[in-house]
Formats: sequence, C-alpha cells, structure tokens
Amino acid sequence: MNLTIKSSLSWIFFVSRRFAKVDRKGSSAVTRLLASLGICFGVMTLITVISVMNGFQHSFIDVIMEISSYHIRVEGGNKDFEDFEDFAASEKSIRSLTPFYEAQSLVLGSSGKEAAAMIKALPPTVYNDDAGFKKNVDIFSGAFDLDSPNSIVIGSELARRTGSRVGGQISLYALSGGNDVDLFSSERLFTVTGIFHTGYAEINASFAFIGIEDGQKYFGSDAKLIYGVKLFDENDDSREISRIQEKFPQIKCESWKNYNRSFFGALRVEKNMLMFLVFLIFVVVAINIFNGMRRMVFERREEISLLTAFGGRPASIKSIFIMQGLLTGISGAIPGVILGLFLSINMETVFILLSKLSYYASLFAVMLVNPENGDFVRENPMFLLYAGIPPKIFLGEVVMIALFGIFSSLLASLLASRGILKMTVAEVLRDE
Amino acid sequence: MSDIVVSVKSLEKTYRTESESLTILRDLNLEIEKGKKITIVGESGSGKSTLLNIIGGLDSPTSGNVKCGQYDLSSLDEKKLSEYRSHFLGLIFQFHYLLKDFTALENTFLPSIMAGLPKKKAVQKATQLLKDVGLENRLDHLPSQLSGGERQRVSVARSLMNDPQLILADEPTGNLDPENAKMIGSLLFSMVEKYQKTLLLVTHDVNLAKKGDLCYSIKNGKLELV
Repeated sequence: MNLTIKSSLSWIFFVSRRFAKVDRKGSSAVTRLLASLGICFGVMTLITVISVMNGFQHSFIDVIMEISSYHIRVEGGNKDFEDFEDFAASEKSIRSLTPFYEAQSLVLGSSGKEAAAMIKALPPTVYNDDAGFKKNVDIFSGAFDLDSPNSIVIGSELARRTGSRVGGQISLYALSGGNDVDLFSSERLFTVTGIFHTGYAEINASFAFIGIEDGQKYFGSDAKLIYGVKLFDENDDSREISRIQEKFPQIKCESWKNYNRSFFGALRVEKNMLMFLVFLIFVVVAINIFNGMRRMVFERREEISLLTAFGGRPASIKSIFIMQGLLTGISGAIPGVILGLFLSINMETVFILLSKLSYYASLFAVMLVNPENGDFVRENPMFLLYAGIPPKIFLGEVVMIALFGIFSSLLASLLASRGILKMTVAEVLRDE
Repeated sequence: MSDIVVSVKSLEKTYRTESESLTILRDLNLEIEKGKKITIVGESGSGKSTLLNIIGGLDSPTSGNVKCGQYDLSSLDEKKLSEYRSHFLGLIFQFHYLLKDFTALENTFLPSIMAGLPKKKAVQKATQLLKDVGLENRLDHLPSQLSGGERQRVSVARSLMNDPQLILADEPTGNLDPENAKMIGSLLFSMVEKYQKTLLLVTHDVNLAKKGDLCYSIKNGKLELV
C-alpha cells in the first residue's frame, strides 16, 4: 500500500465530509452557519462597495482623461508634428489625436463677476471627431460651436459664477503666458455659444473652450502646441510612449498616470482605506471561525488521537480541520459573490427602492405626528444621486475579494488546528 | 531474517509531576517471536498498558530501547512512526474506541484507506473481516447502535485490516460482561490464529491470559514468566 497524495486526500476528504455532515446539527452547525454568513456578508458588501466606489471614481476619472489630461500629452516637437500626426494616424492603439493650447486666465462675465479658469483652445471639429470628448461633455445650453472667431463654450458652474449665459459676452484677462500677452486686452472679448456640464464638478467650475486659432492668436508666442493622445487601452501608455520616443526623440511625452499622479493617488488611497475598513469584517469572521474550530478540535480530541493511533500523520489530521475551514469559506464566498454582483448590477433599483422606503417612512412619521406637514416631505436626494452612479465591476477585484474571504477562513482554521495533538495519544485515550 | 518481532531492552518509564516521580517500568526486557501469542497479567497501575502504549509508539519511554520488526522506535521521525502504526500494528483497546460518526464498516476500513488502499478494495476486505467476526448484518450500524460485545468485535476486525505483523490488545475484554468477554477472547485468539499474527495482550482475566503461548506477570516494573 503506497501512500500517495491522492490516497491521502481521499481519506482526508472522507473524514472531513463526514465531520461536516455530522456538524450540521447542534452548536457546531450554528457556528458554521454564522461563519459562512459572515463571509457571505463580507464578500457581498465589499463587492458592492467597491463597484460603487469604482463607478463613482471612474465617473470623473473618465471625464478628466477625456477632457483634460488625455492618456498621453505630447509636446516639444513643433517641427516634427506633421510627421507625428502621420505616425499617430498609423498607430492602431491610438483612438484619437487632438492638438490644443491651454492657458490659465481670469474670466470676467458681463455682470462683472469673475472666476479663474483653464482656457483650452481646441479644433472646432473636436466635438464631432472625438467620441470620448462628446460623450463626457454634455451641452445643456447652446451648442459646442467654436467655428466663429471669439466663440467660447464654458462650464456650467463657471457660467453660474460669472453670471454668463448663451449669447452673453465674457472677457479673458490675466492670461498666463509670455511678455507679449497683455494683462488686459479689449480684443479678448468672447461670445458664449454653449454651456456644458460634465460628471466632474471641478471641470464644470473651471474649464472653458475656445477655437485653436483664437488660442494661437491670444496665448502669445510662448504658447506651446500640445497633442492629446487617447488610446483604446489606457494602460498601453508606457508601451506607446516608448514607441513615440523611439521615433521622435525630441518629443516630450507624459502619461496620464504621471500627469494626474497626486489626484489619482488620493483616489487610490481613499479606495484602499475603504477596502481596509470593509476587510475588517473578515477579521471578525475569522476570529469567530477560529474559536469555533478550536472548540471542534477539543471536542474531537478522542477521534484525533484514534486517527493518529491508526497511522494518520499530524499534517493529514490538521488537513481535515483546514478542509472544514475551506468549506466554510467557499460556502460563504460563492453566495457572497452572487449577491454582491446582483446588488452591484441592480444598484440603481436598490437606491431608488431605498429612496422610496425612506420617503414613506418619513411620511408615515410626519403624518403620525403632524399631518399638515405631509406635503413637505420629499425623497432623499442623496439616494437618487447614488442611483445615478453607474457601478463598475472589475473581475480581478471580485476574484481577489472572494479569495480573501476564503483565505481568512482557511487561515483561521489553520491557526486553530495548530494545537492538535499537544497531548500524546496515550494521554488523551487514558483521560477518556 | 530474524523471527523476533518485538525486542524490548532495559525499558524504563517514569512519570514525573512537580511533587513526585513514579517509575512504572524499570529495566524491563521482552522478546516476542513471530506468530507467538503473548499475554501479560498484572494489577491495576502495574504498567501493563504503559508497556503496550510504548510498544505501540503512542507513548515514549524514559530510557531503554524498543525495536519492532525493522522499526527502532527511539529513532523514528513522525512520518516513519505513522508508517509503523499504520502498517506494522493492529490495535485493540479496552474501550472499543470506534469513531462515533462512522458505521461499523467505515470504522473497519478507515485504517486501510489511511494506509493508501483504494476504498473499493478496503470495503471488500472490511466486509470479509466483519463477516469473520459475525457482524455481516451490522455493517451499516453506527457504534451507538451496537452492543458492547459487537463494538469490540468491530475493533478486532479493524485491527486486522492492514494485515499487521503485531496485534496489541489492551484489556480487550475488560469492559465486557463475562459471557461477552469469553466470546471476544475466543474470537480474538481464533482470528489471530487464522490470520497468523503475533499477539501481545494485557489483561486482568487469568483465563484469557492462559490462552497465550507465554504468559507474563508484571511486578515492580519487570516481567516475570508465569
């Protein structure tokens, strides 16, 4: 009789399955059920929270990359840009290429109110040529019209702050740039042709678009032409930068990861902290499993001794209990993943439902105490705001969360089984 | 090849507590030849079970040397010790020590699948052994559904599952009524005879002890031939 891994696993599975079957009754069953429910709840919560968080963060990460930073910013190659445009057109990984100038300015509205803004000079056709830009720039008043000289399209919050509306006039002064840029210039009077809104409030409050020719005209001789490159896969940035710099060594490229380093870094920290807090659920569950498993090991010390007496190796006997932990982890993680994905996909419905529930609960309370104020009860706008966030689920994160749930249970059972056979077999059997 | 299955030399076992130390076995020597049925009698606390536990690798001696077949117990690592228990020994305890959540058949074949025998073959062999001990109608019964005598018969069948060279029986009839004790004693010796095993049995029962080829008494930690 040769003891192979297969034959070892065979008896370990056999005994483990039986122990699990028997433990479906009594206090062990309650402990296991609670442990599985804990893992299920943890996995479900983490998947839901992370997918909402992803959706929330990506709603403005996408906006930043489509409007502001692009995936790669290319500058410093004024002489070679014609060649660069040809090169970009032939690159299969490049989705779009947009030349632009940018400068900071103070925007003065016709009402006399002023606000700081980033002025971006773009080709007038960008709105139709760049689908990603169009998708994220929602024109809710006027049109994205930069065809006429001195036309400007401004963010909704900027419009509100400067008291501007479509057809109104605003002037740009204190433009950043070289010595040839006047601080005040009566020529820089622009007509608002459109007001846009994006998913990122900062852009709504501080961005304005003008035609690229106006940019050349007003931003001064120091203004640098920049090319915004968008890729089909944003994570191809390093590879594409290498290719560009190999072909055009004098061109300076900056990846979106570097350009937005501090902001995206802050988002990452925020997400990691949230994950860490929710991961604490698993710690609580793991402690629960550890205690349950310790009790189980103690209750089964006679069986453990007998298995040892019949030639079971301590490692194999430990595996029986580790298998129990694994089963607990899997039986919690699988429904947790299913529920988490279900909740994430139906997040809009969930928040609308919560909004309705909270509305009717408030209405009931008000009607009970002060019926004449019932008309003033409104649905909670926060729930409706959350309902509008499209959740984003990443397979890698879901797998990692599920594995962490299983791993926490496995680790707890591994630690609990460490104390197996501290007494000799003879001692246990004599005591029994 | 030597016919000596068990060789115990200058064995000493002392239990130490904070306040006292108690020597149970001192300078004990024993040799058992292959196929012999050896019995040991002695008073409670004389060290019979301790000797069996040491030979079974379930307890360790304070000093001395125990060699069983090719296994020198003082030098066995965990893996070899498991192999020794699994392949060389068959154990029968005073209390049946069946796994309460497993049927008679499962209790019988479990040591075999632990030793690597495919389950199908193990079931066939266990069924035959349970038939030999008269339990062919009790295969699927849990220990709680069996009488004391029946449980001990399962233990006898289980001890033979891995075709061991040596069977250690620690007062196998000590927990049974006289009628069952007599029946289990006879059964054990007949099974050992049938399967040509070496037996080391400790008991209080003088009549059972007389069935052995050699009978020892344990006094003051040493063995004396009766």
